Amino acid sequence: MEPAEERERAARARAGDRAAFEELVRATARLLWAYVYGLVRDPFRTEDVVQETYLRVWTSRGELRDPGAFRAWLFSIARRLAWRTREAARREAPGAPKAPEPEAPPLPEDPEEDLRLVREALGRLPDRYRLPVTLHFLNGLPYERIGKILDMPNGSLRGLIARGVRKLRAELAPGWRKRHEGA
Amino acid sequence: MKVHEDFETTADLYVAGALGPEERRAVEAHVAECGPCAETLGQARAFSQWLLGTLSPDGPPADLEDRILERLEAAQRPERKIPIGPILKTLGSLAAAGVLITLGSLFTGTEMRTEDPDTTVGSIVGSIPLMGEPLADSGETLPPPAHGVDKSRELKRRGDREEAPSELARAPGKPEVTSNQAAAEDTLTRRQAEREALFHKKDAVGLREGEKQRSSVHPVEPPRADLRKIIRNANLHLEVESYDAAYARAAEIALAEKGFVAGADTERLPNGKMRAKLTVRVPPERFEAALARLRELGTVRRQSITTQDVTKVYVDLEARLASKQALVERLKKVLAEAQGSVKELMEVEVQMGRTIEEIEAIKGELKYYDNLVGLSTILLELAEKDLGQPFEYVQTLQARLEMVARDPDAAYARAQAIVTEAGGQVVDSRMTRQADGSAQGLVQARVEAEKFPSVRQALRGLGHVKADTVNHQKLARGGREGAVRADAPVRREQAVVEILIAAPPVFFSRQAELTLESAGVEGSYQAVRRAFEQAGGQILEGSLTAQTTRASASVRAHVDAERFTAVFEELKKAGAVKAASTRLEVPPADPSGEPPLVRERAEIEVSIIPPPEILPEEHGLSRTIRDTVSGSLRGLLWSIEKLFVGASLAAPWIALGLGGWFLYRRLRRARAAAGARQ
Repeated sequence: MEPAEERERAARARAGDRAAFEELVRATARLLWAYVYGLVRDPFRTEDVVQETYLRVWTSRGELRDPGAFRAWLFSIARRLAWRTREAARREAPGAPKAPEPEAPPLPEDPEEDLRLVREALGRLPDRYRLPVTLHFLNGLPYERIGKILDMPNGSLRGLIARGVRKLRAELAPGWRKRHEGA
Repeated sequence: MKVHEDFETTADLYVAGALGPEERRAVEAHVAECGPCAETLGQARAFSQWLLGTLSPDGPPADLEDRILERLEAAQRPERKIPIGPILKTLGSLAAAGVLITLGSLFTGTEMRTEDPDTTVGSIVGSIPLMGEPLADSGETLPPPAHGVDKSRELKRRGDREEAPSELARAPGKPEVTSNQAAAEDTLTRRQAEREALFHKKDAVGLREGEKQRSSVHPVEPPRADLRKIIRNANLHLEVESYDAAYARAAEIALAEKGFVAGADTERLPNGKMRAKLTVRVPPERFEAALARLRELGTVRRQSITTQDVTKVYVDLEARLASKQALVERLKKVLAEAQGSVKELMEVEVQMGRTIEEIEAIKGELKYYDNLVGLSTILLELAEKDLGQPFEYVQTLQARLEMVARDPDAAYARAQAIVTEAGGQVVDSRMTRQADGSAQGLVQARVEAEKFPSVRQALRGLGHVKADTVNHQKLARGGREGAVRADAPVRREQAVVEILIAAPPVFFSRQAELTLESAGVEGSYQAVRRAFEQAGGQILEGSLTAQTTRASASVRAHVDAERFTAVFEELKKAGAVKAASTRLEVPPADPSGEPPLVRERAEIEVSIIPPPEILPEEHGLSRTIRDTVSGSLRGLLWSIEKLFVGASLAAPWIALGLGGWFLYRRLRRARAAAGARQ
């Protein structure tokens, strides 16, 4: 969705147009999901947060001053909820790895361990790399759609993906190599 | 094409699908020729696949957007209650429209559909739980079932977001009348239908009289007043005269109330009373009546009724079921059309399998709730009267006998023989001995209660009885409450007897000390030891110190009091008696006046010393010279010692003075040198 379109839909959604809001949801849900996943790193909590975010956005749509800033507003709400969830999760399991992460991650033993390592590595990636990488690997979205969702020119997206993957590979090198060679 | 070093980035982009067609071809061509780069590309691909595989369980659900929207709808419902004004206004027009439409449909036999996104008639009507009674479908027809929904969602799933504005542009806000088949063709209609379906779903669920698939041609009958899903259970605890009669009656009542006894769990207690748990299931509308009649079976001890409202859970389950079913339909469609890569299709397949499993689980849960809601459960606990009456008495007897015997070994053996002769069993027996010859025996036995007095008498004859305790107890078994049963039998348990036999305590009635003088100390020492050993004595200490100049020895020993005199005489023969002393003590009399039961022992200590050495005294010149020389030598040594003391006192001060002077000189020289340089 072009920024202009998005602004127009946001303005209509603010006025209470559900169809417009639905379009906004369909245009941004995957992106928001990827963003929240980077913060929360748990698929179930992520979905909760995403749903809760849209619910809040809809119920407090009147508070959106500038329809052009819909995305920023959406993300700020999601971020707040994600942090709260993360705090709650940490309080629930105080023994859980609050993670003084080891210098060299231990060699993974099983897929669970792999998943944990990858989640952590994703969490350590800076935001701007993380979003495209998450969209690619988790949402399985094709490259062109990522570009559209992020509304980003081809060149910059390429750079982000290349650097993101490289960073990820550097982080995960020991675990992956073992998997790869073992396989 | 880039050089090898940078090929890694290119490979990543290639794998991510970020390269354009020409670039892709270039990469493929390069890789065909260049081994290392082919390797890099393989690595990039493997890494990407590993990440995809690892992260796949974390991926967002395929119907993420739908779920978000559903949640929104669900949250929306209560909010809509608030603006009653506009709703009432709409209602007026609606009623009229409804009548018209219904009439129309009756006449034409076709489905009628209002397609006005601004009033969204269906949505509002479907969602007002006004005065607690949903006005579902008052004239409004339901959307066509799953079919239409699938199509529209399927279109959306393909990401045709560009289509949305055009659809909206085509939404003119005018009512349309279409046939069932036509509805499937029109995207706009389908979209609207889907939205309505979301709103209607829950009410349709609430109605749920097996008419989820009801034809949309017929107007729907008004909903039943009670849409709530409520589980009612009761727990009734009764005291009854007779279990059998009560059971028969309960079964009768259950049948009369259109229910049944679902289970019975009975238990007969040792006192012959019965206790039972019956599960009675009756239809909810008969619940109160059944409960009231069951109460009359006996005295109510306890009763509780629980009500659990599972409407929300139920409705949620229904909603989930519907959405999962819709998803499966969509996935089926995707598979049928077989568009997309093999990987995508496989993913679809996997997703479908998972969803079907989830559907089965939800269906199972719904069935479970249906069962609970459809029939109320009354858990009837029946207990016969005087359930807690004791059924027997138990008499126990425990005895402990402590005694002292002159010959504990014989008494120990005899005690066991007495028990066995009386038909009892020895449970445990132990004999412990100490170094001083004392011993203690323990016998634990069980004998029949009737035999106990005679056994006890026999045991008492074994020695001097020090303590004898007998403990009788009568315990009621199975008794908790209620009056004592008159004819309860008394059971006598075997008597438990514990017998402790100890040797009499040792008393030292004689103590003697003997000092012998002997030129051959060692010989005398051996003679003394031999004397003790022959008398069966016990040597506690013996020491012999033999130095070149002077030897000495000592021996301390215990012997029996009877042999004391003989031993003492024998000892005196080992040398010349220098000193001898003996002390006699009488053991304290027993309070009963009997002769004291003790083992008398004597303690004897013998010291052997050599005769003193006698040196003649010295006189004359030699002694004077020796005294003088030794005196002067002593003086010399004394003065040397003092000299060293003085020196060691002065040495630190001298060292300090020298050091200070040396430092002073160095300083002065340095200053002089500095002056000279200036």
